Amino acid sequence: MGDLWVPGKPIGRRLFLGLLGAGAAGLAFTKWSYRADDADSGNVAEAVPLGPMGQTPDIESLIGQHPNILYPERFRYYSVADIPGYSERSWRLIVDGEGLDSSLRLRFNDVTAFPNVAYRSTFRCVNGWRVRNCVWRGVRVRDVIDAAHLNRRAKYVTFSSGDGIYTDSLSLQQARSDHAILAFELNGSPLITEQGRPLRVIFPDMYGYKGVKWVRRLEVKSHRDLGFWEQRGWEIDAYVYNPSAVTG
Amino acid sequence: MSALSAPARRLVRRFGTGELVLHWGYAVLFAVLLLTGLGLYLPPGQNPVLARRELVREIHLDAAIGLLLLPVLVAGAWPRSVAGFWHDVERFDADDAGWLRRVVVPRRLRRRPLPSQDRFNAGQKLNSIVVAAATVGFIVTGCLMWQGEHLPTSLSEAADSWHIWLMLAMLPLIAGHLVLSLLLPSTRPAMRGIITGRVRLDFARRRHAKWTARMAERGEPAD
Repeated sequence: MGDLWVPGKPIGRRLFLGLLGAGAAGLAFTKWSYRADDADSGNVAEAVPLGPMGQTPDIESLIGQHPNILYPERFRYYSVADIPGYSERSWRLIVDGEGLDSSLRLRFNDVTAFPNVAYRSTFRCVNGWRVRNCVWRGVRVRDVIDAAHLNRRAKYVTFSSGDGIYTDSLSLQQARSDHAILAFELNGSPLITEQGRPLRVIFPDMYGYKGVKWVRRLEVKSHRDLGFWEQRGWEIDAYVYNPSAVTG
Repeated sequence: MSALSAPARRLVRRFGTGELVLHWGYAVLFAVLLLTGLGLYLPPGQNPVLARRELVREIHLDAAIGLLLLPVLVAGAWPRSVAGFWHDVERFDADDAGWLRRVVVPRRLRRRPLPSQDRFNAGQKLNSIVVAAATVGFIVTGCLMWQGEHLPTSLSEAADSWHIWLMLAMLPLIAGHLVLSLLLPSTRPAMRGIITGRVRLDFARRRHAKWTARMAERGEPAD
């Protein structure tokens, strides 16, 4: 037995501090290994060619449903209210507000009839989890609201969920960017219920809470409505990168 | 019969009030954090509180603040009890080293009994230290997740991963703790100690001989 085991030596203190040091080193190493996830405005989303619906692998079913302790990268489904049901017959997307000269009531087929786009992006939650390589197919918010004829009062877009509680908003400029879409398909499959079926907002430049699920209404307004989490202190502009680096 | 069993039924104080409050406060808060954490994490179909994220999150954060305050408040209210706990937990001697080496050998294969142990055996000391360090890890990574919107995403992602890995690492520790305290006949008498503060003298002599010998030297009475 060496000096280490002299009776009464405070080995525990050293072990405690050693564990904290090892933990800090582990955290630093993990951050370094995730460095590619630090996005910038140039790489946050990548346009991908449209394929036939349902032809790409359904990785959602693999990574969405089964937590895997060795591979924790999966969606964690969040909701602050009961998940609204969906009926193709009665479902409508309402597009209205003082910033529009007309209003729209769109069936799901009317929404998907707008020009389709697809983007590959990393879905980032503000709490720290992310899912890489999500291919979202949908229609641009820009195309939908422009169809109702923007007027001079159009400054912000409020998105409301069919759950009657969750809302969020984007500035008109953000909502009209290429990346802001109303998505109805993830990785080749229609959205599952917990993912926002049939339609959710995806804006990969910002954290996931900006992407309202089960979206049922777009209101174009002259003033900003604070979203559900923003009323509770979250950032209004939840960029996943330093927004001061945004150009153009 | 009564003359033989009477000394065995005598009780000795093993834990001070501060230690009891610290243990049970930690246990309750950890249970709340584990359950609400699972409520924030588990997927549809396995998660009955999926649609109540705001409430579950609020409880999780409040319990985390409680976990942060608990040792500070307990140390302020019962400083001697907590100082005694830390003193007894952090010191390891040759018997502790021997105990740790040999406890993993099945009892029937041991050629000698395990070295006598103090108020805490070496496993309990290690457990306390690892849990204390993990708690700091939970709080640090939790704060990084909580403030994720102001941090590089790689840092909040690393914090999220470590928060989960720490939880997974803690599960076998907790499971072992529960098995030893609730199920295993030879260690179950310790449960009385963490509820009332007192354990039976015969149990203390059997499992913590060094401690009872020290008490006898000092002439400390059993109840």
